[in-house]
Amino acid sequence: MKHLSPLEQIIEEAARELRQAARHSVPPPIDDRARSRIPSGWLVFATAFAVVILAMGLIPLLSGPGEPDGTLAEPTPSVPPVTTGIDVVDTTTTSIGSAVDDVCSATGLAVPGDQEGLPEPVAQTRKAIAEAAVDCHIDALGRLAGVGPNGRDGPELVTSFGGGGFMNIVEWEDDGEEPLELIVKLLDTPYAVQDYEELPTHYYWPSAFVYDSWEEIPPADLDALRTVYTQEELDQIAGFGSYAGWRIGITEDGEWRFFVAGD
Amino acid sequence: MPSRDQGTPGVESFEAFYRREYTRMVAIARALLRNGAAAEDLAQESFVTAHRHWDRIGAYDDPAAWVRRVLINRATSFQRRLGAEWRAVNRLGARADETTVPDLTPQTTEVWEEVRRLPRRQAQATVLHYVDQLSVEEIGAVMGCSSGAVKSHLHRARNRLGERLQDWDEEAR
Repeated sequence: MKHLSPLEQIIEEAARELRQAARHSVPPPIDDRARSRIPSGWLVFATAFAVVILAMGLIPLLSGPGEPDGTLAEPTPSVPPVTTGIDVVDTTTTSIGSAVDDVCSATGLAVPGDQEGLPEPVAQTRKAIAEAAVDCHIDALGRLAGVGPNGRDGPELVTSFGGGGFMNIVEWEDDGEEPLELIVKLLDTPYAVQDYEELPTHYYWPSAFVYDSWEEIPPADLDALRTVYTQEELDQIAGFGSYAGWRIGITEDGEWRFFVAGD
Repeated sequence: MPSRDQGTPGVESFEAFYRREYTRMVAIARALLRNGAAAEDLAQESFVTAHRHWDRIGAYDDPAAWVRRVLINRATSFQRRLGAEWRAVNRLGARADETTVPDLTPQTTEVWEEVRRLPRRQAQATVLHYVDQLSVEEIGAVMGCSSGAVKSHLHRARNRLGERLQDWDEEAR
């Protein structure tokens, strides 16, 4: 018999266990021949037995709630009443959750290096966002997004055109959608500058966002997207006609304004 | 000067941690990646990262969770890079290196091939559960998501694998 190394043993055993679990997760097709082997007398008996059991269970329900002496029972509250004020959390303020997690989707990623040509406020915010994400420091990230006790006075970060602001990032991270990893990877792509008539100049990552059509995106900027997306994802985005994927926008004053996808 | 390994009292030495966790980390990487040599490299790199910050990471409740997280993040990046390289090589008409894990039975190889075809998060949860024997809560800690999300990933993964492996079993007959 072949001798397996400890490593091979782990992988072989795991595969066996997984194969077995996967098999059981798919209900076997009903075999008509097997069904016909069940004696019909047993089916009649089983049905009658089930009817009796159901009827016994329904009797107390039909007679209504009450104690043995006939008085009505107190309904069980679904939420325990608050007895002291100590544990009451003010839900009217933004609660970001744990300040620092040991691990998150950006754990182990490197903070992207400096990029040439960025104004100092933009470069500082970019670095601070990446550092907070890599450190899984949700509170610090929230402050940069304009929420929390030390957040800026300006408008909150836009993460969805349907609303939700920074808390979307917290929820997405909790749901395993890895926004922090995405933020770090986006900030490591080339950037582009966009001037507006009535808005401050914005700096965008990735640069692909500022091109009107997919065909105009330079090959080097497209290659940079491959560090963020799979080919399948890129094909889907390309199908839209221009880059409408995730992008990060920071104003020339260093305000983090966008982490959003879509048109 | 004391080495980082012997540093803080109450913190396990990096060497002991490395000896205990190494094989399992390589197993996780090998289940996630087809390329066995790359799997070992990624596991090594993850330990090197941990070693660099061992004063801090060694003091965590579960330093292994941190290394697992780094490992699966790197595996994801590797797969993306590999995808780009594979396409580049294909354009040249050559064949990319597709080294398979040596000495595994065809049934086992088939299982992990199918796992690698799962959506990324489902594959990660599956490997952490079956290779690393982690609980749903532990997987949530490694992947940075809720237990509910992990259960959902595992449930979907098993269903999808059940269908695919059944097809494979029928074809093999």
